[in-house]
Parts: sequence; C-alpha cells; structure tokens
Amino acid sequence: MAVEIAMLHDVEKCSACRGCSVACKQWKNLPADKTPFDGDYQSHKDLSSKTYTLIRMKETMVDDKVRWDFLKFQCMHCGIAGCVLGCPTNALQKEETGIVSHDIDKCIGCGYCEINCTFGVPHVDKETKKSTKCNLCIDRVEKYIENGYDRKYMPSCAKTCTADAILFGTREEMVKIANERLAVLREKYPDACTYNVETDNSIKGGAMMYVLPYKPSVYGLPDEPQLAPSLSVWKDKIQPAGKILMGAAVVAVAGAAVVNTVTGGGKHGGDDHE
Amino acid sequence: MNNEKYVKRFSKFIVIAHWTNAISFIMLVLTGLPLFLGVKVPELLQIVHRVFAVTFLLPTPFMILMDRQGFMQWTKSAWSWSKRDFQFLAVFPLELIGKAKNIPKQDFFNGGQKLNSVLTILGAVTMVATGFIMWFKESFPVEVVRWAYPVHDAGMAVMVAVIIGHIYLSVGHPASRPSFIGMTKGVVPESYAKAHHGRWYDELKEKNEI
Repeated sequence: MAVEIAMLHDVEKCSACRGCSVACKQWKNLPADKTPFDGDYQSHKDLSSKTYTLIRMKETMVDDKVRWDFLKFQCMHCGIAGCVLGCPTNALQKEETGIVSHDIDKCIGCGYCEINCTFGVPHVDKETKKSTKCNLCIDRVEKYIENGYDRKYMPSCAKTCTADAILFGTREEMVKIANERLAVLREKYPDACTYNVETDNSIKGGAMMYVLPYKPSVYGLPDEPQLAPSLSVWKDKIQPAGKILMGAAVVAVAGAAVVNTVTGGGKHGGDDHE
Repeated sequence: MNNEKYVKRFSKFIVIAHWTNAISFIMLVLTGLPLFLGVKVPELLQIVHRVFAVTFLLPTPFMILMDRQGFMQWTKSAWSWSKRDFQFLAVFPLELIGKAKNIPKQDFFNGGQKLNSVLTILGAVTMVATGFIMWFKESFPVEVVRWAYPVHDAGMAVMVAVIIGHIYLSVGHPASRPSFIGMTKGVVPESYAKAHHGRWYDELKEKNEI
C-alpha cells in the first residue's frame, strides 16, 4: 500500500544553521563543494552535482534593520515533474510515495532533466556523466514507512534539523500542519502562503512543501510555478507525429517496392525503355 | 544497351560533398535516433553525434571553394519553381509505382529533386541552428534551449522521411535507379537524361554537347 509522504520547511522557524546541508552530505557521501567567499552569508550560490540541498539566505533592509529570509532549497518532487517528462530513458520516475526517484543505471547524462526542471534543480556531473539531485533519501523513507513512521528513518536533513523547521511525515499530516501554521503566520505576515501544498497548478504541487511568511519570489521561487510549455508540444505532439511521419515514409517506400517488383512497373524511361 | 552513351552530370567535388554529407547524416541519425525513441545507449554516442555534426558542416564550404558553379546551379535551381515542377509532384505517387504518364519535361533537377533539395537545405539549417543551441546550452536562455529540442526532433523526422524516399529512388526504384551513377561517376546514361530531364537534354543537344 502506497503512502504519500511529504517534507515541510517551516521557514519562520529556520535558523539557517545549515545542519541539513551537512547531514545531506554525510548520508549521501558527497564531497565538499569549495566555494569562494564573495561577501555573502550564503555558502553555496546554487545546487550542484555534489550539493543536493542548501539554505538560501537573503538580506533585506526594512526600516534600517536587516531582515533575513531563509529557504531550504532542493528538489521539489513535483506532482507532475518536468524532469520526469523530459527524461528519454525513464531514469527519473514519480514514485507512489511522491518521491521523484533517479535510477543511475538508466541515466545517460543527456541533461534533458536539467533544462526542463521548473526550478533548475538537477545537475549532470561532469565526471560521472550522470544526473544528480535530492531523492528525499528514498532508501531511508522505505524503512520509515516499513517501520511504522519511525523518526529515526526520516530523510537525514529532517532528522537532523535542530529547530524543528524541517518536518517530515505523511502528505496528509504535512498538509494539515502547513495550513495550521499558515493561519498562525497570517496574523503577523499578511503575505504568508503555503508552497507546493496546493495542487492547482501545472506541476500539481510537490512533496517538498513550504510555509512562507512572504511571497515565494522573496525566496527566489516562482510565484506561479509551471511546467515548461515546450514539454507538452515536444512529447505529446512533435515526437508522436515524427514517429508517424518516419513510419509512413517506410511504408510508402516498402509498398512501392512491392508493387514495382510484382508488376515490373516503374521501368519506363531510363535504360529500360525499349 | 551496349552502346549506351553517358553525359556529365556532377563534378567530382559535388560527388565528394554529397557522400560526406550522406555519411554524416546517417551517422547523426544512428547516434541521435535512440534518444528520440527512448532507447538507452552508451553515453559515448553523444560525443560521436557531435563529431559527425562537425563533418556535416563541411560539404557546404567545400562545394563553394571547389565547385562554385555547381553549387550555385543546385541552390538556384532548388528555389526556382515553375508549373512543370508542381505537375511532376502531382503525378509523383504514380511515378513511384511506375504508372505515371505524360510527365512534362523536367529541368536539370526535376520537381521531386527540387523538393528534396529544399527540404534538405531548410532541414540542415534548422538542425545546425538548434543543434548549436543544444551543444552550447549554457550560452542561451533556458527557454530557447527548451524549444530547440522539439524543433530538432521535428527537423530530424522530416529529414529522415525525405532520405528514406531519396535512398529508395536512387538504389531501388527501377526507373530512377540509373541516376545513382551520377553520384558515383558523375555521369548518367543519355537515355536516362532524355527520359527524366527532357529540358536539360534538349539544352545539351542545342549546345551540341551530346
């Protein structure tokens, strides 16, 4: 029986300790991405083939005071994912649990996931030629479900979070908490909203959800996330039509070859016209 | 047909350019089609695809350098369409099964060859442009890169459909098969020229070249 799970980042509680990034590196056995200091508190500008999650930090001056906005950025595990639609070898799959998983053996490193992701998450590793991204610790999550939602098998980032800002559980439970927290935040923040909780857009929400005090764009997220429009043209129209066209050419030529062989036709003119 | 005479059709440079283009194209299809069809192939094929993308570019400058006249004759002809070209295309399905009658006399290139040329030229330009965007995707906005893929696929499908017809006509089709030697030795049988390219044949007669 499939249980839909979800992760919820309650950004108001986040202290940007980056323990989640470190826990991710440990569980995934990923080396450090050495980044230069460029006057910013944010350690990694973007995800990479060696960094699957990071904390975005944004400073805003409000009434002569610095306001910090944090966001745990990673794969959103979209309900309908551009990477899954774009992948030609089905290496990327939307699992029943809601996780967008990645089968390294099927991956050929073509990078179609990179360009079709709504959020620019996957990165093809230059050396291994394989795509990389967060898989929500799919191995741990299997055990989490098997063992009756045992905390110790939560994704490593959620398990390690010291501020209880990263919550993990069934999607149903996370949606409930998200909406409760939204009601609380609304009193203080008029723009407060949930993200990826509602499924009324073309990506149909996601298993990585947020409760945000401000608009999504404040955190560098698209206010209205949507699938790349080229995807449906490509996959639903061009590719089927292309297959039909090439097939039709084969059939026409094969048909003509058969007719010409049987009837001895097509021999007017040329060297056979006598 | 012991005394069949031959007439000059293509220079050796055009022949070399044709086969460089043909081999490159076939290799591009063989290395690219698996991704279109969703077949898992070694990553190496993506590199091979790019090698042949480069060799695919060579015939055009080669023709311009070595046989400018032949190149111009072909490209000009591809874009000059008259009534007889459309008349040719109208009866072409019958011609394909050897049942066409009263085909109007054709130029050096007939209506079908002109259509083949137009689709090949437009297809090549499309494939090179979108392929360039895909190869150097870091240098283009992601929206542009996203659209390059469906356009590259559409161009491939059209060009493959065209080449299937082109190959059959050159090596399989009984009536037009004699033209194949035009792309190997650069000459075609006089009888073929007369039957398939009447206007060109008449021109050669007028100039006393045959």
